[in-house]
Amino acid sequence: MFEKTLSDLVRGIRAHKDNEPEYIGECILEIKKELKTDNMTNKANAVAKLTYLHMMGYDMSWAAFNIIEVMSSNKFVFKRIGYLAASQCFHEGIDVAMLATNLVKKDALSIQTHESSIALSSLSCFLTQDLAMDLANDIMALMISTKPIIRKKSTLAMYCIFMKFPDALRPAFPRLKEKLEDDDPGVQCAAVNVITELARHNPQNYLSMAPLFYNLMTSSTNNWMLIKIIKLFGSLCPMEQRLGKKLLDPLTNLVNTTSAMSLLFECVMTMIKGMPTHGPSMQLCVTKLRLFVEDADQNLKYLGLLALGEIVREHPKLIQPLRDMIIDCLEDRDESIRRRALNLLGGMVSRKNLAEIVNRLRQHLGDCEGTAYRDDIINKIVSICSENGYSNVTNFEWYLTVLVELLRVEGVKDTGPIAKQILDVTVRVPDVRPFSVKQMSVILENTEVLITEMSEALYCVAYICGEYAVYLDDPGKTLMCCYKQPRLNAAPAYVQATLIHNSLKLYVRVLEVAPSGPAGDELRNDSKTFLIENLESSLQSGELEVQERASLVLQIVRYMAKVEGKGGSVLRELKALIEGELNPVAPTAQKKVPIPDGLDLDAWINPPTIEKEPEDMPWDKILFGSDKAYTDTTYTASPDSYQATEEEIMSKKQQRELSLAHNPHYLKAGSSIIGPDVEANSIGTTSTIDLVNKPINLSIPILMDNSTAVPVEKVKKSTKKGKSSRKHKKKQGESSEEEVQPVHRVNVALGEMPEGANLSDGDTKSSIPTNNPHDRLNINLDAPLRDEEMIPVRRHREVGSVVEKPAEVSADHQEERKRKKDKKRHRRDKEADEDKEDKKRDRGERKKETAAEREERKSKRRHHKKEVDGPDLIGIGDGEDVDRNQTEQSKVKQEPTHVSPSKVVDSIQQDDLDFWLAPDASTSPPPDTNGPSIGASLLPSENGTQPIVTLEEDSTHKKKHKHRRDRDKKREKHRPEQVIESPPPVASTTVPLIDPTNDILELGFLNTKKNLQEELVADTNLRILFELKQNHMYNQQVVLHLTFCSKSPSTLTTLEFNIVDSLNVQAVRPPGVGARDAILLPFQLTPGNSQETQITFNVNNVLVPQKLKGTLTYMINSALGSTSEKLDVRISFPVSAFIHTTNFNKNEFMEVLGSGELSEAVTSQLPFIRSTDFNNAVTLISTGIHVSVIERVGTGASLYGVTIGQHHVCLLVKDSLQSGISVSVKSSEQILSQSVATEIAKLV
Amino acid sequence: MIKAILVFNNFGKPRFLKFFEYFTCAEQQQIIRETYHLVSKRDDSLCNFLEGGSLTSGGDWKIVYRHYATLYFVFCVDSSESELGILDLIQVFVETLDKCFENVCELDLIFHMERVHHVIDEIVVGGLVLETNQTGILSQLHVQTKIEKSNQTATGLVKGHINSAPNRAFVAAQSLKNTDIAAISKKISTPSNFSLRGIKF
Repeated sequence: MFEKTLSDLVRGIRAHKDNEPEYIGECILEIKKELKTDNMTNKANAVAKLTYLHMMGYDMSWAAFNIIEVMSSNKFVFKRIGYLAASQCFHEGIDVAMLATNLVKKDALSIQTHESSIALSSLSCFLTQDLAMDLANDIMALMISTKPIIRKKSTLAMYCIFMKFPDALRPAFPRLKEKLEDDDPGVQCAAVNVITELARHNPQNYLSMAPLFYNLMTSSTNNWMLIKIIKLFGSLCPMEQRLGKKLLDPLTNLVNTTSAMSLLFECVMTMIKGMPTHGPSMQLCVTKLRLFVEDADQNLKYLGLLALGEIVREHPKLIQPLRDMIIDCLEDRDESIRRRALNLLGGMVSRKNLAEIVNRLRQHLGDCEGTAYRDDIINKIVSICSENGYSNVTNFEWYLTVLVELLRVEGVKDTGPIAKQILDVTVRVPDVRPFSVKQMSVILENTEVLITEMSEALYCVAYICGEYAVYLDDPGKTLMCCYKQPRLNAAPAYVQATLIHNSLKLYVRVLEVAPSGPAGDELRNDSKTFLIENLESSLQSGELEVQERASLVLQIVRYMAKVEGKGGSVLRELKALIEGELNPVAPTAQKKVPIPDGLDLDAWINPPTIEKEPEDMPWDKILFGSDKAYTDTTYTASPDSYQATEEEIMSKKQQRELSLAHNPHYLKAGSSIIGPDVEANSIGTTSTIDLVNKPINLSIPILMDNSTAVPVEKVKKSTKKGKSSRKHKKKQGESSEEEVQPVHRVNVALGEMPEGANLSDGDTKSSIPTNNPHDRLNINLDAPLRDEEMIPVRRHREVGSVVEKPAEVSADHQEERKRKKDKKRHRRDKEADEDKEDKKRDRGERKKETAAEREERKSKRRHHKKEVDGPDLIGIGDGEDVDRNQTEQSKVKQEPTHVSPSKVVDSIQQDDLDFWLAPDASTSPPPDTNGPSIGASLLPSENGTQPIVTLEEDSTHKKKHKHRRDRDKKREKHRPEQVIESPPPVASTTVPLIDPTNDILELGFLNTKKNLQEELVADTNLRILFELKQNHMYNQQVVLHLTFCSKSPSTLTTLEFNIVDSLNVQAVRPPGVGARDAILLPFQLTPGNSQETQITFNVNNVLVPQKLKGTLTYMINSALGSTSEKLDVRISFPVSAFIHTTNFNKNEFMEVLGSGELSEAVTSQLPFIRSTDFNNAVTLISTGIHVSVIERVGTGASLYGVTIGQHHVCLLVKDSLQSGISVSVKSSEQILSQSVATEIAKLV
Repeated sequence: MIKAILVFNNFGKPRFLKFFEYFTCAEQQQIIRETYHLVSKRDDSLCNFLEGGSLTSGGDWKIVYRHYATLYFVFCVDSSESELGILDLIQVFVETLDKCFENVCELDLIFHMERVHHVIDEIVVGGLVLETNQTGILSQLHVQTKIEKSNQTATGLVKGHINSAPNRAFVAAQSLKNTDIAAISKKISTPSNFSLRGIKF
């Protein structure tokens, strides 16, 4: 038979335009038949067709199993069809996707690039959590594939893995970092892409990588990658102020030079984010953005406005000159641009121009189209006026007029914000109330306005008229208007209820103002009958709340009529019913209710056992016991008895107070009365003062604390809350409640707070655990890997007949798998009876397991279950991880173990960053120092802070270098115990002559000048600068960085460095070079150029300064021929070259000091003249000796550093006023202390 | 990252969909409809960026699109992508399609949706941009096409499912862009001539 091909299907669909669904239905039936055949061609064809239909909106996930079948075909064409279908329709909910695990794994690891490639592409679309867990390891392995395309794809796919399986991030991160230095620029770009994406959500974890990216940025020319890096810096900058400064130059440079608009734009955006306080660069940004906005290209215009929106928050003044331009953008044809301009305007508003801008917006409102956009404009008007507690509004009557006018604008969908705003202003600004009430009564009388769309408006109008009825000229008339609304019944219940309720207030006001005499009687009577009539009709309402309100008001009115009929009056009582003013309740009020002392919400309310007695007993016992002892020894009996009773009373009283304090149901009378009054008074006075100053102003200055000022939206919410609570009160309670409450005349911007609430404490958002993978990816990446941190490896189940040990491994592994399955099952069906299923599944290997093992597994599962339930696996999982580690020792280890405490690395990373960020690069230890404690055990790739070699022009060098490093790595893995394994001894780079931004340590004798490298030696042809750094990878090694600057007009070649090793210091030579041979430097020096190289030294004795001698020979190749030259070189290694800082905290420092190890102390006096030099001295010492300041108290400071040989060095610097500054050095070795002291003395 | 790539025509008919975040089939169609609604109203002279869409509102979701003749190419991205960069990427995407189909038009996309997928797979992986260089993309595609062709000649999957061996030659001939038999015989004969000549000389 001949089935339809995909083309036939497409043609068919196009031919059946009228009855497409039916036709497709037929086709799907056919497809189902085709899927049942055994012919792979048919199946593939069917799946291809399904994929097409899926695009049309016909789900194909039912065919998931068939898709997997097609995926497993060994024909590439079919496989591709299968994978395409899978990438389109597989997702977390498809169970059969699990069946694909092995298949995908096989294909991804295939040696055929194309198979691997499609598998990776497709995989990244349908990864599920389980797949990610199973495949993480394999994808990671692909990252070191020999094919760039696979490396690229797998690097990107890792991002998807991280999203689904965050635990993979830490083990995989070193490799990801390696990829930043990949040979292939595409792979680099992919790695940058992934890290940028990760860092966007958790920037703080990636701060330590800033130097790395900085180098990439300054060396790369790939715009796409540059954009990503600059974006990355955009998210890092807010985390670290100094980074912005560091980036200033390169970014400014890029902004001024680049021709790519996209890059320019990103630079500007990052500058805005990174250095918002830096005036000149902001000015530059504005200038550039102005060009954007003025550009004819709509895209640039849009982006320009977008970026200006960022600036306006910090620098509204800078934007002011552009105001007209922006307002013109409001008239743009493009809604995207109009919205952006609208947004910008909000930021530009000031007290002076508010009216003008609002008027422009109102005009604009008249002639724009689209309801959504209109709503936006209205919201904008409201928000710019209400910003900062109406700080820009000077005339509230004007503002109310604007609002009322906005209510009348036709075609406004949602009047809610306007109505709320009217209400808010009226409640918060007492002086504007009469005006407001008049406006509202006019609206109420003008019935045409109030159609159902404006129900929100009716709500606020009714409330204002009722609540502030005192300001009404003719309450009677207003009352009549209340029920004149057409289609009132169609309004929402709460609006009707409010209306009814407020009509009562109006009625009371009518009775109050009605003159005595026949005219008044008539008015009274009219209102009464009118009200009763209308309320009776409201009683018929289907809405419960309306009914209830109507009935309540009706009964009150009738009762009044009855009492008045008898000649009495209840007007006073009625007035009391509605007396009192309502204040907004702060949005955070509920949260801020202080927990009474001793109230423990986690404690049992009804303790399972009676613990009251034993708790009380000690009280008595202590009191009586001590009392007795007291009296027995000192006093006689008679006063004793009296005193005892007094004590008793006291204790009883205390006990009672304690129990009361503990009683959550007991309200403390005293404080509750005092609290609000005090608050009210204090606020009242201030607000009156404020009112005197400005005739019409907010009576609610933010006088508490600026930081807690509530955004307007919240305030609005709060008013609503206040109202609703009142409504609530009135509904259930009657007159008494209102009278008892103290009357607040408070109009706090904050809203009302419960007494005793701490106003200054921050409203921290409660951290609700979310499912957002980025929250789970918030992981510290700098800490070294722990043993248990590894990507689970899928392994084959091994049969028990093999040797014992592997069997154990497999058993363990099975457990792990089981755990995973459990997890899955757990997710799927929480109620499933665990044990029962457990039995089912375990039947196979049950015999092998001892009871103990089973028990262990059970407990583990229990444990695991907890883990699954927990909101954050990584954040809190440490303890559990360790636990797991104990039981899973036999897991195959993939990475070398790291035992060092993460803290050390943390601090070192931090130090590195500090150093790198330090403005003149001379205040901190070298950037590539790692703690000695971790040096040997560190992963080769951990040394992320090492600045990557700036892109070399000479690629052969790099390759050689890399190759060598790889080999080194291999060797290291091979023999981990061999500690002193040298890194590449010589590497060379071509850099511009002394890059000021380079992270260079100024070594030796500290001076405040800004030369970055010291001059080692110089002659007429050559100048050599040097600096010493500690090797981050190996203990006991120091790296000498040399920069050769040519001064000669001719090329210098054959540079050879001949170093005479000493007993304590030996140069590490390239392989094949003997200990006495000269090191040939792998470069030539062309005129005016400079080259860098580094030589590593093994240092055996770090306790004393070391010196080395050497000679440098080179050839001068000029037109006249070549001549040889020789230079003598002396390299001195001060002790400080072996010392570096750690971020010890005070406790750790005290511990070291207290351990007794540091027995050798040397004190020396420094001839500082005045005590003002003290701070300078401390800085000088800390930077010169590479120690960090642990503590500084008054005229003393303690500093700490550690040598690369693990010796602690503690310094105490004291300012002893007359005799200058004394420094005592403590370390475990006398000679070390002495050397350090000598060096400090030299520093000065 | 890129959240979705949509291609639809002037009437909102989807021609290509690729989502890097999971949405159900119905949601996907809804997104298409909404995006179409937003995009189709806009004049070509307006800017190529849009914010919003109700299903995706609230989130970090921006639409970057280009309109070519009858087709809209829409990339839905979040704020970590550069707007102008994505705009360039769309250009690269379309140019690559143009190279693949030789003067691409809507019909090509209708009948060869899978090839568009193959192109996108070489440009974007899991929502992150893989390759922005057209030659890089094309070289990868070229490799695949070659394998595809060898596969097809082996199995005879071109039109219908003619699996029998005798037809293979015919199918192979057809796969060479429907050139007629004469042309093929010429092609076959030319090399033999060459070789003959080679022997002669």
